[in-house]
Amino acid sequence: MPEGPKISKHDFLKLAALNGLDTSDGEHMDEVYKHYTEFMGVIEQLRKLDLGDVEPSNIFSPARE
Amino acid sequence: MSVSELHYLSVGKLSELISTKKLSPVELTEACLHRVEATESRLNSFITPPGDEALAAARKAEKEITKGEYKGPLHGIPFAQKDLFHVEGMRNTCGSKILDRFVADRDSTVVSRLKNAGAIIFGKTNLHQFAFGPTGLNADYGHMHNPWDVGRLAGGSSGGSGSAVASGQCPLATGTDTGGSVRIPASLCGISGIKPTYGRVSRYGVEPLAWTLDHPGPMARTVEDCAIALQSMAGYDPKDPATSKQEVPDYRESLTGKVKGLRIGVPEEYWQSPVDPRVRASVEEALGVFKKIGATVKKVSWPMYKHSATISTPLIYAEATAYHRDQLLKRGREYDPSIRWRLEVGLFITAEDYLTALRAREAYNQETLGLLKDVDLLVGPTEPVVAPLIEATDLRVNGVPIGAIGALTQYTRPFNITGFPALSVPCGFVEGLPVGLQLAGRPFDEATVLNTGYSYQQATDWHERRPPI
Repeated sequence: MPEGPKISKHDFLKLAALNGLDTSDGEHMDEVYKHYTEFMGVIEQLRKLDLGDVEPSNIFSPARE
Repeated sequence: MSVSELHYLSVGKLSELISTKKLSPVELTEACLHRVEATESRLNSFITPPGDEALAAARKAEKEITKGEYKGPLHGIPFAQKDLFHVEGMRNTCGSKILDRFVADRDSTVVSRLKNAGAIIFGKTNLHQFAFGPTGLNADYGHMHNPWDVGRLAGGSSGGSGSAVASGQCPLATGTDTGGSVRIPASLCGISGIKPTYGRVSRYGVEPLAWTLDHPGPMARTVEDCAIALQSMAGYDPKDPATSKQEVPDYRESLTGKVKGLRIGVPEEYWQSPVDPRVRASVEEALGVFKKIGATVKKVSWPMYKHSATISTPLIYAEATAYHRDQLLKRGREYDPSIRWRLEVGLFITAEDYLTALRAREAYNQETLGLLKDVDLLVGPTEPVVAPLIEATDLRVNGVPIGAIGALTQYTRPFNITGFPALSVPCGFVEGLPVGLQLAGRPFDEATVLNTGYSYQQATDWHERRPPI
């Protein structure tokens, strides 16, 4: 996965705690931070897609014409 | 008839014998139980192996048939359930010790329909924990092993169903498919498996992974058997608002064995992804078979294909995390580490990013629907490799590391994004291990997908090969 925009480890841990995660296991949080950074690379790719012509939808249906 | 003959017979043949009272459901169930006993220590296909309850159901089926109450081709047929499908009174672990003691208090709609069709519920099969992974590795209940080489992956997440069917432990099993979890083990274990259209089969009573991507589907040794199983599983269910009211056609009747005039498209992007050249050769040979039996094959372009992971990853992480959130925050340490970090990363997805992924999905669907106006099916490999070694820490093609999750789902997840039907059938062997061919069609046109797979199996014998176990 490509790496995404960086947020500092310090800020990440603050967000993690706000999300309810127990951040006391430093080794585990290092791992989650690494994967989070990679995942944000995916999000960055998603945000680059040109979706201007796509009608927003709040329902998923495989057969919509 | 000897036990060894029975456990590899097709459902088509078994139902013929049962309906004419030449074979008893009890005799068949006992043969499958013996096969489980003989192979399970090497395969680990089941979390809750079949036992007395299967024999009791077989005796009930036998009585009904003796009284002239034959219900149809699933009557008296052992049918294993992935351990995500609720079966009343049976444990439902989802492959995690977190749910080790959870017992379902009602049947899922699929199980209820299979019971009504007379099927014998035949144990609960092993899976990648919470169906969140393509390898079939499971630290809590033990890894699933491939019957073609027990040192190799059975695939995931429905790996226990794949190994059970491939090894003759049972003729049918259910699977669920969120990024490829029916088709991946079908491909690696050398059997047939169909992910029907989203909304064709009810998800009620099936533990979700990501509810807009989850598809229950059948796994069998032949396409005809998939068609028989799907017939009973499919249809509108008021308990699942995503199910469609579209009529379910007679799938078995649609198996004509004729594909003359069928237009097959092969996305050129498939060959731009890492793929073992020997797998590609098997797939190209299969395309040659289709030409010989009357189909046309042409290259097509599918530009959105390269965005598959970009679109599906936020969807699956967000939905899975939304489902697991409370348990994750309380019992995170009890999850498999590779699942735990994905769920934890899912906590950081914004609503805006999730909705953008849904919007991108719509663009992906429209492009794919457009492709399926020019061709009837999209065909290619199910997997870029044959079953990897269990101890392999990464997957490689031509020596280049390609990452297990990304590689094993690269050809399958596009059809979870679209929700269109996709079938895997065996189409060759590399070093004694099966290669899978994926056939994907238009929404709610499982009939064409199944008939194309069936026609291929009429022209080839890859599906008749049996593992050495």
